[in-house]
Amino acid sequence: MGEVPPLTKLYERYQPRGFEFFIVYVREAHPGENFPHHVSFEQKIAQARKLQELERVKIPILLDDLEGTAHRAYGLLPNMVYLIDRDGLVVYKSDWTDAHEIQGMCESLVRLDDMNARRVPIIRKGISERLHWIPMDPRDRERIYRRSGEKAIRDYLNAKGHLPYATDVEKLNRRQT
Amino acid sequence: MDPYNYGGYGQCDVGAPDFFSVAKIGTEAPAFIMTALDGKKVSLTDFRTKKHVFLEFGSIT
Repeated sequence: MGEVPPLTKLYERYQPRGFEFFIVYVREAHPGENFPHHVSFEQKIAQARKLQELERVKIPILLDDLEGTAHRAYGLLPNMVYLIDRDGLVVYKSDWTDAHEIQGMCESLVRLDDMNARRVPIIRKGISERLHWIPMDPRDRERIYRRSGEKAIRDYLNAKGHLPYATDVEKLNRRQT
Repeated sequence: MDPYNYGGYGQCDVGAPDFFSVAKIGTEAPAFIMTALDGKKVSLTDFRTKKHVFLEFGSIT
């Protein structure tokens, strides 16, 4: 999952302003010896508790069912983010957690609530599209895969032919020496 | 093997829909009923007219 501390800040800031935040615990993206793929709902609950403990998650965790019904309905990506407004409409979706962008969207919804409260007569509903860029420390990604176990590392190597963000790791090491 | 709860990274894209072809912007969000860690059931409809809902999907690994 994405970086927890920035999300926790957003949760503390916007939860009192008309928002509910949830982490949806889905299948393990990089199953390994320590955190294997789910074979029962009881195991899934136990691993969700472990996630809460390991990452000190304050945001309430919801568990999708064992078959991934909600995960499928929303697009199956391992680290996607959605904002749904009070009318139940999707107002933001992202393929990865971008805390800056999420904050911008939360502010937009706060502004919308304010316009509605002031009975602004015309509110134009528009749509935008964009790319985003998220800094990722390759050491964090490695740490997560290693935490899962050697199997997770092997599977990654087999699938990609190199370690996660290997090029970045090399660049980083060169800069440090 | 279970195609959803795959046993190893590398089979993860099997059957994945196009992210932007489901739950599109401006459309009604897919309904869900999920389980909180205290065992309570939480439905998206619980928040209708009341709250904006933020969801981040994720796992330990």
